[in-house]
Amino acid sequence: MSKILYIEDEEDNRIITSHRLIMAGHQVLLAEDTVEGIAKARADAPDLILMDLKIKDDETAGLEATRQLKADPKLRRIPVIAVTAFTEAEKRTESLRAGCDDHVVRPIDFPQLLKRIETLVTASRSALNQTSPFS
Amino acid sequence: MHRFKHWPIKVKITAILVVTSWVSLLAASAAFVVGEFFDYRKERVREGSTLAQFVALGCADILNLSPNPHGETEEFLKHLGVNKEVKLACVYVDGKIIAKYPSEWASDQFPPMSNSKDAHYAKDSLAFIWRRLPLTDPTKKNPALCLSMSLDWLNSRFWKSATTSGLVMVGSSLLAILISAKLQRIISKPILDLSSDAKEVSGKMDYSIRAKKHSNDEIGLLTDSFNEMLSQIQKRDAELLEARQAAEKANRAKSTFLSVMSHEMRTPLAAIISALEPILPEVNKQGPALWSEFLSICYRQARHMLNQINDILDISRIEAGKMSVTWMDAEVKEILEGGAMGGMPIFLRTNNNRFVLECPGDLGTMRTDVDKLRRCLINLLSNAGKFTKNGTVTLSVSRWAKDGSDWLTFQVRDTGKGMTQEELGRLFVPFSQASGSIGQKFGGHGLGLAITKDLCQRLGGDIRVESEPGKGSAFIIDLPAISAEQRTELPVSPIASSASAPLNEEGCVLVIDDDPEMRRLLGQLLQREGFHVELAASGLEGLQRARELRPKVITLDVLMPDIDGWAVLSQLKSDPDLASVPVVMITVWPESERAFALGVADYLSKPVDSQRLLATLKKYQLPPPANHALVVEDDPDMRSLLRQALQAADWAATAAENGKAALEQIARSPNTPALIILDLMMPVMDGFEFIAELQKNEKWRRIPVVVVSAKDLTIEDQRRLGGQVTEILKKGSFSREELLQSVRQTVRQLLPAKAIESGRKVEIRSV
Repeated sequence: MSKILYIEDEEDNRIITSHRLIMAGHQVLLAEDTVEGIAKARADAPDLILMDLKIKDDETAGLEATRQLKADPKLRRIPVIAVTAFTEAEKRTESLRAGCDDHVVRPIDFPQLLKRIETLVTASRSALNQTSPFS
Repeated sequence: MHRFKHWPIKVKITAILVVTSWVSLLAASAAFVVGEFFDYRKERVREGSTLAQFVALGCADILNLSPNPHGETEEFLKHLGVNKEVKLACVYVDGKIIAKYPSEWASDQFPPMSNSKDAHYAKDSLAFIWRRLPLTDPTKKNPALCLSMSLDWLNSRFWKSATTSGLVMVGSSLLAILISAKLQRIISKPILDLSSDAKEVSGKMDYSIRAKKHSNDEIGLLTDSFNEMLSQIQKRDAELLEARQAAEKANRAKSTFLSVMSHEMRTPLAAIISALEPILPEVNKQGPALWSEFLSICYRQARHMLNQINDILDISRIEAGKMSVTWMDAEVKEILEGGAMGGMPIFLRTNNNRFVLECPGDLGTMRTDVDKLRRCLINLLSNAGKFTKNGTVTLSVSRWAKDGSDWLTFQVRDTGKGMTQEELGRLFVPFSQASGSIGQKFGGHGLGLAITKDLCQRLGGDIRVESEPGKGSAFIIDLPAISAEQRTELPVSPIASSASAPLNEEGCVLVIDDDPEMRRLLGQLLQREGFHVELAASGLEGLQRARELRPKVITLDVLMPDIDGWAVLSQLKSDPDLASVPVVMITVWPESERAFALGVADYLSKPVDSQRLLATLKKYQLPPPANHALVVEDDPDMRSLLRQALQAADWAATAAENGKAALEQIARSPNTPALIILDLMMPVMDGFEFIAELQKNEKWRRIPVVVVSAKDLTIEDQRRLGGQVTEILKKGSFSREELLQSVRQTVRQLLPAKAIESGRKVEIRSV
């Protein structure tokens, strides 16, 4: 059971994905844009953030928000998974470059997403208990 | 003459002028000398004739009047001695010589009497002049005088004038050289200027240069044409550049359009699919049949539409040469069951077909591009569904070995109407050769199969088809479990190489880049692949680190603030210790020729294509990310799972069923394992005992051990495991990825010397 912050501007996606996450046993926080998302990341300390990359017709909003999150020493430990409907390989590179920990393409392969969430949350929790091997 | 062709034009013109002046001078001199010769001879004859006339008259008087004509005539002839030119003279009467000069000569030295007519001729450099004598005595027949004058002086005069002409010729040719050397410039200079201009244009590739025009003659015309040609080239260059830019712009616009269009269409489809996925099984189970049917149709059609969008994208990627393959290790079963394949049975349920998956339990793992393989299978399955009614579509998968490597066969069989030979021939025809526009090709299965074939080949295998009309078709994809391309990047013998090339800091990759994001990205990417990575933030730091670390490979950015990549490169290449280290240049500037000329091993442009970077690094045969691991586990299933997981991550893994067998194996093997995965509860010798035995051996004490156990560890247990155990994973609560992740992290932390010396803590991970 993890606390997941889902930043997504489209209502339909928010409803569907959050319900599926809840069905899988997670707790879900929602944000409609990146400003709200970053505020909630600060206030509610989620275990993981699902970040839609294109928010309100701004294709780089999600990447920008990820950079902000990763620049903040208090927030950078929260894993971020980028979600996008763009299929280009460069998009994956871009999001990893911006600091995202993973990248999934719509339509979301849900069992796969759940696995990745689990892996990342586990890794970040264990990283909290020890010093990072690469720091 | 042949050599003359290669002379410079200046020399040619001078030579022509000199030769011409020579020839004309020669002709003039010859004419002059010959004319002189004849003139002089004529003169001499005339002079002789006059003299002969007087002598003839004198002789005639003596012969007419003298009582002693013969003696007096001879006396008279002696007076000729005053003229040195007169060589002989004689008087004939009745055909006999009656008087001669010089008188001492014999008669036969004088010319014989020919006739009595006046005549003159030259013979043996003598001019002979004949005169009749006007005698009054008619009895004396044919009285005549012959007088001969020397022509010697004429000959010497001829040679004199010939010599003079020769001297004049030498002098004049010198003069001609001097003058022509000056004058040839009138012709040669414009030509030479034009040729040097042409050389400059072609040398510098600068078509804005114009040749200077000197005159309005043919060379001027040539200069004009040359300049006109340059203008045309410039104009054409400009047009080409414009056309290229326009094409690039159009191409970018097309890419953007495709990207945006696909995004805009995928977003709603993704929402539909995501919304249907969780409720469909529920509705199938509990809801009314009609709802279930309709929802299935919605789901199927959404999937179908997504496939079509993917087809368009794939085709345009193949067309643009941008189709890239992302290799990863995956369980074959997972490939068949996850992702788009997850909903397969449902969206395949068209035309009242039955879907069967024939798949043996243990298919193992394969290294492939999972998404692309799934696209191929879905393409084949939807085709099969489309052309089969009330039949069966079967996907059967099998694993087999050929020449020591494993292959997987995916066969999609249907019971449809099959295909004729003619239809079979057209099946995989690439789209570019197919008739009609792209728009007309959708819907039919031509596009899908062309893509499928292309993808299969990219994955290292191929596709074939077997079909008979009325009996259905079978599409068969054969793929290597690990493609040849991927396999060659793995060490041939991990165990052997672990002894000769232990993974330490010498085996690291040094990333030199001033951009922190790029450093992070490259670092992450390479670490994820198991390379040991060191980072340097500037050129100078990079050089220093390179000297300290002696890395296996260096990646080098070009634009850096302190000293740029080129300078770093040349310093690296001039250092005898580092010159052999392969350097991979990473830059936005397309200067690959320069890079290779300076000794770069490979060259990548930003944005970095991670696959290519990895392939490049692997080319230089870095030591394997990890080497020999020993799995000690009594449960056979667990043992095989752990071994497989390790092997999939390029480990050479061996296994033992208990502690005792493991100790024996370690003692027997020439290579100490780099890692031990240990179960605690085992028959014969358990994990605790095994650890205690390891501790007794100086060499074995250093082997890191990862404990995998279902046992809840007490404080006492942990104490017993002591300093050797690095990681404890609770069995049943970790995924394969996590195991691998911890294994790799463990090894990476342990191998640098300092980490080994600093000792290890026992950490219990709750996973």
